[in-house]
Amino acid sequence: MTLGLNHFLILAAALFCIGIFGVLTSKSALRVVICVELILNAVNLNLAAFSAYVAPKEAVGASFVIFLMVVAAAEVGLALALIITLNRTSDISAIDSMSRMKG
Amino acid sequence: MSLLSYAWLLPVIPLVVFAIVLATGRKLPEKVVYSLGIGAMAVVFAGSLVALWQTSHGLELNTSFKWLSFGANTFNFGMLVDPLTATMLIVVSFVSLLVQLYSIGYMHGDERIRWFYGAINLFSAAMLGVVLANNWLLMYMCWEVMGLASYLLIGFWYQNADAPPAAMKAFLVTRFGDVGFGLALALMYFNFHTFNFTSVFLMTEMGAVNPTVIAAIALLFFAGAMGKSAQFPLHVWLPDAMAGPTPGSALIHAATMVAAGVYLVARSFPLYEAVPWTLLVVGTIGTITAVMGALIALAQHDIKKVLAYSTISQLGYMFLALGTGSWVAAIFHLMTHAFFKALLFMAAGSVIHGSGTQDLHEMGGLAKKMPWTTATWVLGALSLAGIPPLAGFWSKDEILLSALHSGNYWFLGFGLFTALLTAFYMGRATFLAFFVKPGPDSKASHAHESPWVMTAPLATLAVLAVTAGLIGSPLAGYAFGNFMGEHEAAEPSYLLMAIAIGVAVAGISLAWGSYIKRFFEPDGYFKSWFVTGPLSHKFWIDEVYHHGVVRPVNAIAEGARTADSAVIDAIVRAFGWVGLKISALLAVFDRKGVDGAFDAFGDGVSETGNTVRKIQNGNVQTYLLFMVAAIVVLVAVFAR
Amino acid sequence: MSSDVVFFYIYGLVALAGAIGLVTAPRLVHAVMSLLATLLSVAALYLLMGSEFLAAMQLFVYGGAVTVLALFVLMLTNPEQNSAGRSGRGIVLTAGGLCVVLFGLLSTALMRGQWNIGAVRVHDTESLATILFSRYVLPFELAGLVLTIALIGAIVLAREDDMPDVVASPESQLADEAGDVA
Repeated sequence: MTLGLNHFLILAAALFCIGIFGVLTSKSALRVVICVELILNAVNLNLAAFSAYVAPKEAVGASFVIFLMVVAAAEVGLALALIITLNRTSDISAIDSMSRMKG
Repeated sequence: MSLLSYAWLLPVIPLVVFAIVLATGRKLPEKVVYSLGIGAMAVVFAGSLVALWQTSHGLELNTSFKWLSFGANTFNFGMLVDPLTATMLIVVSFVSLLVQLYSIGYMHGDERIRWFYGAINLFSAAMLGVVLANNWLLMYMCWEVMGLASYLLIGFWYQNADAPPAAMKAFLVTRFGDVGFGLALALMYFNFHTFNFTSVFLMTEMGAVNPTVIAAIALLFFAGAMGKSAQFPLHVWLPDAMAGPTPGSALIHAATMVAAGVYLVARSFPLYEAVPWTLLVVGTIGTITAVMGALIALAQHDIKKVLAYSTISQLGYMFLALGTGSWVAAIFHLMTHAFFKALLFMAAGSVIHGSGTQDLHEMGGLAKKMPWTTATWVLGALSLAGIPPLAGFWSKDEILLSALHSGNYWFLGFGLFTALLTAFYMGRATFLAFFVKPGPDSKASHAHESPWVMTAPLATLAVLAVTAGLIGSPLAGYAFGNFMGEHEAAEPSYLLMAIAIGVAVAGISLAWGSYIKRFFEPDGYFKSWFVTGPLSHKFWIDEVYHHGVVRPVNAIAEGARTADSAVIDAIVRAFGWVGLKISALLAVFDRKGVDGAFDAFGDGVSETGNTVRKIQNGNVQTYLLFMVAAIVVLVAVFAR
Repeated sequence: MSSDVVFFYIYGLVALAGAIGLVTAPRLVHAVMSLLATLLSVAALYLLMGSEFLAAMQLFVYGGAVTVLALFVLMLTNPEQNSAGRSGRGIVLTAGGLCVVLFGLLSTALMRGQWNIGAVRVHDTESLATILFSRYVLPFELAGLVLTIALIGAIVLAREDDMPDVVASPESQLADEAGDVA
């Protein structure tokens, strides 16, 4: 039995689903943010696996992973700054009590 | 396939113990934790004995496997087991085993005893990794982990005011030396394209690399060794490191980790031999450190500080030995020093445990209260002072002999001078702590002997402090040197032995005359030196660092902060201003053109909104839930 | 089974265990530490694919920066809210069911896919560098810009409000001007 592409894809799918579950059910904003990181990691794993198995000569997928990492870093920086600000201004970091979007 | 190929298990076993402690936290009972640690170390010690037995039959192990590759560059990891490694394995695992046994008693009742065992095991794993590595890269990685473990143990009692700064100081000062180590690695890879000991030594021998480069690498390695082994001028962290628990100090800051620098230089010795003047640098720094450490130790009144400066001085002695070209003598002294200094530290710990004070002037007369501790301490002190036939005498004699044969009479002279000072300060500490009549503010009356888990390791180490030197003595035909592969033993000089014994006896008698018989009062005669002068201020080196390094760095940091906030402020202001102008433009456009259209549209939307608002509860996660449900449906439809 | 597969299962299981720990751990510190376990095993998986550079980046960016940042936020925010619990039972059950169904759908689809083309291993650091600095050089520079802007944004957002006329005043001026025009 050799290590194939499907191994990575199914693992990534599992991580993705766990990440979605975390985003949907966590009350803490911080946990939501790091669950999003988990989802992005699953996506990265997919891209890297396709890159290594399907087009190994041209590292297109791998370069996308790099861009995704940049975006993820930017996202996590901003999201965490938002959490700090929210915490300072309204003592809220439990996400379900933020329901000011109610119309 | 010899048993040696399982050598990789040695560092892995304590690492697993550390992982277990880390993962279980407070869940495991204390007993389980320390039996785990002690059991693991007993297995490692047994393995080290096997390694020693195998290497003494001429077997060696040198394996590599590929670790990483970047393009055409590959990095290998691997193990090397030869007599030098086997000796270090024995020293590390044995001292670690005894320290863990001893800590059952010493750390009894401490809330974080599990973590203490975890840190000790992390340290043991790293140190075993250092001595087993067959290349400098792996060694460097383990070396840094060792630094981390040292930091954790110095700062173990972080509630005490002096522990966190001491831990920080140790970490930063050793890191300063490690920068040298890191640079040496870069330089080595650039010129040799490998980190493997054997390949590098082969290339050095063939003259494939410029000697200047080799000298630079050797000196940078020595910079790393100076940091770890507390050599002048990077010795300042070691005395402060005594803020940690005494068993940890015994293991890390006396017996093993500080000796890693000596091991590094001994291991890299062919590099130094290729450019002999580097050895002169090593020996000179070692000599300065040996004399300076011994001088400062004269004036300390904290029993652990005496031992700390004594350690600095003895490490200087080892580098002096390396400087005379005899790495075998250095490793021999490293081994005997590990045994008797661990013994002294643990005996000091027993004294602190029993009397509740670290101040020599608050002790006195402990000999009657703590007979076992006293007896073992005295054996350790005599060994350190160099009284035959104890271990310290033989290894010191080897070093002095090597200095004599190499023709470095400066090294020889200062070596003898250090031996005199050593005998004096050890005599002083021994008499003050155990034999003088207790003074008015003595706490000796409440002292009590420590439990057997503490005295048993002391007794074991005392046996070694007495006997370990014999294997390298002329009496045993220089068995140690032969084992290390040094076949032509140097001609013993009986005159030198006599002088060394005379110096040691003179030092001890001087201390006896000063502190027991009170013929004269050194603290009075040399008041300007001892109490107010350079000795008690440790030659003002800490002050020099404070004014020369710490304050300028703080000033620079302050300046950078000011500049920073100015720059970032300006950028933010600029962004704000641009945004403002754009918004003002947009606002006009918005009200004139867009509003009208949207008002009409909005009315329609609000009608629709009123009907669907029941699922809009304002909670983002509910919205997301619907989104995911929609995605699931889409996937079910399209990916079917 | 080759050693690759064995290592894949070891790291894959650690990654899954970390992910599950991330969503279930009652305390946020433990959740972040579980995330770290997952991130490190994903780095190991990149190594298994032969992508050393991605593994190194995963370690630096995720294992280092993101985790530490999350811990800092944990430290700076109110600890009581950091242990904030879980949503209601209905939501958990619905979300769990949805995720299980999603995973089932995805994995059956993947199993039927014709991608399983065996092991290909190349050391792609060089080809990655080539493509990043030739075909994708513009996106690469833009990514740098994105990071800079995000950094400035994060500083502006997280700044204390008691430093006047930097953040507060443009808004109030804007409000004033809006009032004037109206």
